[in-house]
Amino acid sequence: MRKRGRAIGYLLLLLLLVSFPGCTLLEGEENILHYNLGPEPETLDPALAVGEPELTAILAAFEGLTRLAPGGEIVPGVARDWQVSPDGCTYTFYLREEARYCNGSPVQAEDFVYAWRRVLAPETASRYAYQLYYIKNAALYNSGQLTDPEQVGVRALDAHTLQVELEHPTGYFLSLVAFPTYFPVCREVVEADPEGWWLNPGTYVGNGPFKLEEWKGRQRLRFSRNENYWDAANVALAGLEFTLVEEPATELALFESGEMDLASHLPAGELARLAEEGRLEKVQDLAVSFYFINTTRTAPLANPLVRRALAQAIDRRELVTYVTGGGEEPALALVPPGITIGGKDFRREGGDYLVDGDAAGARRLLAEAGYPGGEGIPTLELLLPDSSEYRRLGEAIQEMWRRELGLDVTLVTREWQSFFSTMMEGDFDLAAVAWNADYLDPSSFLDVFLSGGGNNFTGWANSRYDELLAQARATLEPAARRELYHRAEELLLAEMPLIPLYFPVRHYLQVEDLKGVYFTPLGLVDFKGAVLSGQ
Amino acid sequence: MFMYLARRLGVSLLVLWLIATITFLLMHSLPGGPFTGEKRLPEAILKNLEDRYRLGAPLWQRYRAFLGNLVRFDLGPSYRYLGKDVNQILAEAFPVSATLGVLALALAFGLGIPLGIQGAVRQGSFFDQLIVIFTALGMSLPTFVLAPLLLYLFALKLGWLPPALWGGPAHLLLPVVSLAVLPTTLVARLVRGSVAEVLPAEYLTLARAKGLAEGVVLNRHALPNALIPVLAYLGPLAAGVLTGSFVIERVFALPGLGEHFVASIYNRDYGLIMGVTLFYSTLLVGLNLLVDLLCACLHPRFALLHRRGGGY
Repeated sequence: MRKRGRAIGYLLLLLLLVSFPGCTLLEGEENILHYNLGPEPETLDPALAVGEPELTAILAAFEGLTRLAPGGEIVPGVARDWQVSPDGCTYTFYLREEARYCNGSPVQAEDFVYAWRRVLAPETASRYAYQLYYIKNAALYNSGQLTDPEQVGVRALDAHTLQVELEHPTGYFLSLVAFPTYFPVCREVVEADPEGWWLNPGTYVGNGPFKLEEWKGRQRLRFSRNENYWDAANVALAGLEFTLVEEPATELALFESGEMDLASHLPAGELARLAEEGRLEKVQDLAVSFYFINTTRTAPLANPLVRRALAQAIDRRELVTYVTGGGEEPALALVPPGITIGGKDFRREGGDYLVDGDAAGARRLLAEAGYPGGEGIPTLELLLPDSSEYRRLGEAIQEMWRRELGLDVTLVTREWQSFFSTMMEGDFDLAAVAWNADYLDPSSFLDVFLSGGGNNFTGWANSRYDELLAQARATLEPAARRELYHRAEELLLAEMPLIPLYFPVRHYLQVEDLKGVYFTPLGLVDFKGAVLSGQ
Repeated sequence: MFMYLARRLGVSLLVLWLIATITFLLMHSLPGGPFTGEKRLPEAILKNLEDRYRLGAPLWQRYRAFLGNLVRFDLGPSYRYLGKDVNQILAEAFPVSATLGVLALALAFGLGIPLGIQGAVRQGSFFDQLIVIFTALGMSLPTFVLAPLLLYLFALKLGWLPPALWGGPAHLLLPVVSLAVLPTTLVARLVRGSVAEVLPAEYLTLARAKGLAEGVVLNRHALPNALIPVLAYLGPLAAGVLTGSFVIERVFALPGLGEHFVASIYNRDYGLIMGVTLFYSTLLVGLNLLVDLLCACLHPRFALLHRRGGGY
């Protein structure tokens, strides 16, 4: 036993020998919000970022012409005001003269011109460049068909006036400019080190409510309030500390032990318990979970009646109660609630296009299509990404189809990238996806199903549908545009090249002291208005 | 000896080249790529990405460029962490895993060897039974069960230790223990077996017959022979433990190398996949070589074997 004692002593000695650098404290340490960002950001460059952790961090450090506010309202950001030409194609933004970067230099119209051209320049290779394709000649310049950046429809009329020309009238353009890809960057710091300016807090110069103080590898990011921010008076937090924990169970453990103020990546298996304890909060994500139907692979699935039978036989109420279990809303159409056009919520206005859990109706449809009792339909392949959530949902639906329609479905699970390439090759009958909006408009969902669209893996093509969407795009009047989108959605759901399942929600836990954190509809977290009370 | 060393070094380099080539080919045969996201990007953007990150070039050209960089010890850029080099990522992550690994190894050997010896000396006793049970348990308990269990018990229930993150010594305790359990039991079993094997040997009987105390017999005569298998096992064990564990680093949110082994493949981060694979292989091959040399120095039979060029 003496030897074991010696071994433990040895270990303790070793522990002491390993030295650790101390942390420098920011002012008002208790007024710093602790949040887990998730994985280490791939980049913090607004032009290159595509993922949620990156975009959330950028939203803290930068600000666009506008901001999204709770309720999906668009409020002024760097632009204090704007004007839209009668044809809806020219936007003039009037910038605040007091807008500053954290290094004190002014934010000017030229900075937006520089930043947007930079996103679009082919050599930048921005994955989100298409978010700017609404701007005149942007797509041509990005694809290299046009080499002169001057031709892109954005110019500075003077230091504080920015004029943007669009390809088509775009009703949601004001919400687009609130997205990080549209944020201004400080030309001098970017040009001094184009590849690495965002890696170093000293050169990470933003114009947002917070300023990067420290980025410690895969451990944490620390921000302090940016005193040069034009609206710093309305930023209550002294700073932010983002940890970079990838495992949801660990994030929950850190929250439970008091090291986090807000946890928004929770393990699926714990949701029921947390909900029962009354602590779980949720916000609607602008997303929809659905299955693509490959309409060109097998004869039965080429028939809209069979596709509708499949969609109708699923009891979504049962799925969201017993499988996902997080208070999700069953999806009986494609576009999720939360998109307002002309002051009205698109989904609530449009209603449902599908009856939920109507097994008898589904059987009738199947018989009508010539497959009574599912006879003559071969075993179908349901392609899933390799995750337990997709699998559990798939198993439940597989069972519903077997029970109600007598159909055999095999689940094919693939690692994510392999799943994606299998889907692109069309090697599936049904494939599970969750689609998130890129911008606040029904077309962010409806455009997926355009004939030959890059993400339309169904093989379904309908010229009437394409026409309705083109018409909607060209329509300025919101109510008329909404009506056209509704008609397109109705047509889509009658043809049913997809099976809508549910509208996902985002769950989070927050300490009682915390108020005012805003989860934007596009899934980012906005900390500008956050307040930790008792400070 | 010099010839032996030169031959071993040559073989090691050949092995590393083979690993690099096979990994390179396998990696590029996987579907997808570093910029495959949840949505398909427009063709123009894919083309821009291919041009900028030189993903469009034929495979042999990329292989040649990769080898060219490799001989200069440059593993190239990461495709995921834009603006960072693989060398830099490894340099950030390895110290974390190595710290954990060294401590876990110290624990494994500091605890495993004495336990194994005691087990062998008191074979069949209650204490020996305990060790057998402990080692069986340690070997069969996977880390993805053990680590969350320790976290739940000591961090959440008892509140004695921080649940996760990389910080002070207190943050190290749970991951080091989780990491050390398996090697400790392996070492204990190995030592117990090999000590038990040498104890009845004739040369020890002779030593006892000369009147030496049992402690001296054990320490001076039995152990040097019995520990050689343990030493041989040190190489692969150290390489494995020093480069980190995916599960443990994930559960305790530690910024080590282990995570990269798995995540780089999911992300199709070609540079990083090659980086971690080669780093691990080099460490493994190097440590094995080192251990073999140590064995040769310690064990007269080994030395003799190689002096004669291979045969008895």
